Amino acid sequence: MLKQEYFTDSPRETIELGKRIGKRLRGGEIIAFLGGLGSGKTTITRGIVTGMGLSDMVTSPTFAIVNEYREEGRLFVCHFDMYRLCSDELEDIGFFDYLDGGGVIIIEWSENITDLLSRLDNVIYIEIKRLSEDKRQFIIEDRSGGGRLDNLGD
Amino acid sequence: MIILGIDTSGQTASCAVMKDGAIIALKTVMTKRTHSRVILPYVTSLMEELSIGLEDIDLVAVANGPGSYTGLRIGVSTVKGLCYDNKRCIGISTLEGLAANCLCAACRIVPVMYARPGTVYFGAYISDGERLIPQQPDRVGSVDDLLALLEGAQGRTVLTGDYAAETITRLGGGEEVVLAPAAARLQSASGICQAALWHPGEDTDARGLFVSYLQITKAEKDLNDKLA
Repeated sequence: MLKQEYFTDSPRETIELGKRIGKRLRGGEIIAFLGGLGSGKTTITRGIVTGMGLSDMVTSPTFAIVNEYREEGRLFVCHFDMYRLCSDELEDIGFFDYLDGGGVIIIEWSENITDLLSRLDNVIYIEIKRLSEDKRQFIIEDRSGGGRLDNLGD
Repeated sequence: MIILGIDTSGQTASCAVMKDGAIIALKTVMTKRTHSRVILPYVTSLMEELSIGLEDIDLVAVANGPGSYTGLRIGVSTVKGLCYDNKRCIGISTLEGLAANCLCAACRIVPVMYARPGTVYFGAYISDGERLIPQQPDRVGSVDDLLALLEGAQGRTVLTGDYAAETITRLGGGEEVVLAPAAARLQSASGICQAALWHPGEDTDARGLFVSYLQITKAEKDLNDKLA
């Protein structure tokens, strides 16, 4: 499976990359981030949500577990942060009900639920590497086979 | 006796009113809207159409599991609220409700619901055309467990529930398995009302009504470990 790489030099560029991703989404996608503290997961999510045409404020769901961004007539987003959870606890937050909801699912700290994600066949992994204080490397691996995020630079 | 039935365990939001054994009103909608937003308006609209009030309802029956974690909690919480002032209620197995909708098949009925990737909820009931006898307890298991139940079985089996069509594609082909018609295959509160009649004396007050997930949650596991 082909991995795609993109580089950004600032949070603003990260958001622009996110917007390009958001414009390609059609619903049902699961985007799983791999990346530690401060890597830019919430920043790029801000871009993705904006690219989908939603004007809700995107914030880190570390304490809320999940934020939902919705607007009448648009695709909605369920933005998860698994930092405080493990796979066993997904049942308790009703996670599986979200999977069939039709919206886009974005997961920060997906490292905590890799065993569950490996059993799903429509996950798009985005690994974020911190190259310096401002520079980031994004490695996108689309395991859903949809090819929706190909050639984001165009 | 007037029974109000509610089923929000799956993709459909459904409520029904049964009077003296006959369904006199039924509303089932496969709605994208969260069940918590629509189920009470549905119940109210049915009761308005029938010109009855909550005081006329003798028993409220609800599908209390298995099914969607959120959907079950919505149904059970709604019914607890409706029964708060000492009205009787009863929790009915979602799978039994599904089987009840196929009662006239008069053979073995196996309701199957999708749970997780590779995991299903299923039960086995024998129908004589008038009532159901459970052949085994409702359970959660792998798709292979379900196929083992169906393969090589004697006699006819009717498959129903949201995973029934998929199950048939996995079978070898030698079994006498019939797919329930689409019109009767998904959750409908009419089956819940029907099944309630088969559990006399099992009704309770609002405090005694619980969800029966069939999947033990981590919180319960941790509590059990702590108590052990």
